[in-house]
Amino acid sequence: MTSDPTADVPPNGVRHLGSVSTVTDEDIDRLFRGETAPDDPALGVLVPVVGELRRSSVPLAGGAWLRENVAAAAAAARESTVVPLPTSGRGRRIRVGVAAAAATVALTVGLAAADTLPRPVQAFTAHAVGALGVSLPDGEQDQQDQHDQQDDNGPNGQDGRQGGTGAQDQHGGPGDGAGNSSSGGGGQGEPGGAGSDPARPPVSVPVSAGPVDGEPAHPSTTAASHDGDRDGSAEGDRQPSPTTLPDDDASHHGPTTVPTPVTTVPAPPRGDGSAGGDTSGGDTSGGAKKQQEDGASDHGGSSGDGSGSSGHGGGKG
Amino acid sequence: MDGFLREIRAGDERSWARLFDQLAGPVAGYLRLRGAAEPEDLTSEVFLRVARGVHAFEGSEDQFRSWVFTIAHNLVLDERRTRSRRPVTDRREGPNDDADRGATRAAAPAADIEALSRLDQEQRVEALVHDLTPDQRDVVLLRIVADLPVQSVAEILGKEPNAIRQLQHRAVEALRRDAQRREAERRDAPRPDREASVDQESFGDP
Repeated sequence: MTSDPTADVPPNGVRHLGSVSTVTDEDIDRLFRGETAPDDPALGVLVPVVGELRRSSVPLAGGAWLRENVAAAAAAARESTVVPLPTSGRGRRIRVGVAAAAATVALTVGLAAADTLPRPVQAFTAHAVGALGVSLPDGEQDQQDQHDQQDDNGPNGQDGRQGGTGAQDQHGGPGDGAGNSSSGGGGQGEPGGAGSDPARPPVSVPVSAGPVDGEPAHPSTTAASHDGDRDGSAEGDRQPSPTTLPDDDASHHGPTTVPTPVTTVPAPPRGDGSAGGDTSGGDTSGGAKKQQEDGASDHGGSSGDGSGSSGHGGGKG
Repeated sequence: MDGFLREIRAGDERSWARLFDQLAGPVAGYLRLRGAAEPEDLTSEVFLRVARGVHAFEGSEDQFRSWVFTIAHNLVLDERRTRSRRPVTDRREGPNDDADRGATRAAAPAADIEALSRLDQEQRVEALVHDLTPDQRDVVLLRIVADLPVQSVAEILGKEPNAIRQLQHRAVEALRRDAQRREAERRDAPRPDREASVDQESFGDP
């Protein structure tokens, strides 16, 4: 069978009954419903065919078949109450798989948010979720924080703390490392006192070492220490105050403790407090008098005890 | 439809008898012409599935009819698939069918004459749609025997309505060409002893 219209021409020259191409959908609908007249030029020849097909739908079975099937179907309808549509095994497996995947993703993201995953997994998860616009700790920052903390607790910090609590401090000796003596001003002892502003919060900067006896700060120290050498108070005022630490640093190191840079020099037996000035402004409570007062009891390394730190200045002062 | 459907769901036998009266014939005819080996058994299966699934059905009367024929269509496809896996001898295609039928006709009581004439009718109808492609046959049977609109046929067969219209156009063309061929054969070889009607001459024994 082909739909080629040219095949419509009978090979034996039989009368052509019309072209089907002129037949519309409505004509076909009428034909299929049995409403086409037998003398229809286009479709009349098919009226007997359709009639034959329609007659084929008459039930062939007898009454017994009908009664049995009606009873069986009615009983089946009564027995089959409303039941949930059966779920195929495949559909159930798919649902379980999707649920498991969702749970895994949720758990992973949750652990990543808590930063409790192993570093590679944490980094991968942070990267993947970051693509969706959600920022998670990637582990690198934590690693950096850990390094920072180790630095703080390491030789420098320990030095600072030791310095603060060291004998020199306890004896009111000339500055120890603890001093933020940077206030080197305090180191010199003179303007340090002037620089000390009672209204300013005391700041303790753990510093490991510094020039001795007001000597010019070590070249490696920052301008703050140099400034402190020149003019502790004045320069210190111009220097950024160590109290203006970023919040995150404050959260890590305490509100008044400045992290010590890595490049520090071992604490000399005597310091003028300019040590460590590299990180602190000279305006700290490096006042000589106050430092002297607190010098004996200073535990310079302790946070918040700016006076202790400034003790060195007092030492010189 | 709602009340009728409620009674069907409740298992009211009178309603089910009415449903069988309306649909059993078309369903059986459709299954038969689609080549089901046991159309009556398959019709019973169709209605059993209807009974089991009618609680979940929602829709109009036309949709209900379409749903029943969807079940029938799927069942006959399943049966054909199953048959294709195991070789089965078709009783209507056996080499001794004519001889068997003659012997049966000779020995048949009067009550079975009707059944035998039905068998002849089946074969005549099968011959009508024999030359159609499977898709064209599906469309013609669902449109004529199941008396379904184009949209429902499209849903059952999983095709677009335009595709169904195209298929039925081609099927009509094929049927018409076959009718012309039969008419030509009748003219070329007329039988004087045969005074049957045009219908019988056109669609007699193949």
